[in-house]
Amino acid sequence: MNDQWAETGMGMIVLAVAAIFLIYAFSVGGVATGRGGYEVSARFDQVGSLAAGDAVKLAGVKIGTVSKITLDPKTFLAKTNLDLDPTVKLPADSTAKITSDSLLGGVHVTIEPGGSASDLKAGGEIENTQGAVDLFGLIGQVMRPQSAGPATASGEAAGSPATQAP
Amino acid sequence: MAAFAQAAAGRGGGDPSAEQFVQTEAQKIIAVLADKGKSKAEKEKIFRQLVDQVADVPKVTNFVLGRYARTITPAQHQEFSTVFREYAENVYQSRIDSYHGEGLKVTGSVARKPGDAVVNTVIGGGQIRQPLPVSWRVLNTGGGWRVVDVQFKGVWLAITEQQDFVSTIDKAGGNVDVLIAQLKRDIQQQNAGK
Repeated sequence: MNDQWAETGMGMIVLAVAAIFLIYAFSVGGVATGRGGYEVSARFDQVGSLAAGDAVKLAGVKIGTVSKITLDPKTFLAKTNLDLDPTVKLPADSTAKITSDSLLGGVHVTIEPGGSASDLKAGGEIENTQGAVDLFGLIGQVMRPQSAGPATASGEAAGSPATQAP
Repeated sequence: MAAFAQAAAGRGGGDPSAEQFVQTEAQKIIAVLADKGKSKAEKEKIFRQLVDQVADVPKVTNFVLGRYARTITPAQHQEFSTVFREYAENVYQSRIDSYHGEGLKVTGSVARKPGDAVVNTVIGGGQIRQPLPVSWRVLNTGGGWRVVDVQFKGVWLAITEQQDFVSTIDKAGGNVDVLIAQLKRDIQQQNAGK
């Protein structure tokens, strides 16, 4: 009987520690909502590996998180909802970019403040957006250039690889 | 050229008037480029007049300054506008001679909201072996459509230019005059290379 209680007690402790870690992780990660932030949206033509919970940064400082990513069925653009720190007021013509943390992956949204005199309001949309750029695709094209100058064009075979079909 | 003559009808989410605008203006530019009867100087002059019909120059000028558009003095703004326009014109004018019959075809568009659309096009023909997809962000704030940005391979030009300019000003400790001086140097180099 005593053994059973000890095991149950141990289980409780493990669960409690797990819960504490979960709360800690959420608070540090800033996923927790309802802290009085305001939400704006931004539509990108390509979000790459961006996911809900990723950071929104301005000048490298975290000012919010990506709260939701959905597909706009009409325009086929990826619509992201950004939950921003209420103390940060962004100019209306700010730009949102999807930036890589490193070459190996990990992305976040970078806000580049614009110069407009009016500020973006809660529920507003960041209209200037730069989606994720396929870095490796671009590197690949530099490694095997598709069209050299007219002088060397004759040297190229017709079998140049097709990368993008419009 | 015949293959690039008419715009393909886009599907649902597009904006036909924005597509029409891009196609019409592109046709005008191509007509000037292809005109063998005009000298380069004459073509440059026509482009200087065309630029305001095609692009929203004041908007782009403000945009590329980023957050410094708020703090710049009116005198600096005046000077930057002049220098930036000349800088941008020079970049395109240096390409006038390299036109060899390329054409532009609108392939569709995405209406982000009324008066804000991205028109997708492909540029092909001439010396281009593989058609290049290029997208144009066009805005209509009441006075007709104007181009504000161009996208190639997923990268927006004005957004990249803003990054470039703002970091130049950042490095100079927020002094816009440093950027203006640098653009002037670039223009001189371009003119010397002509």
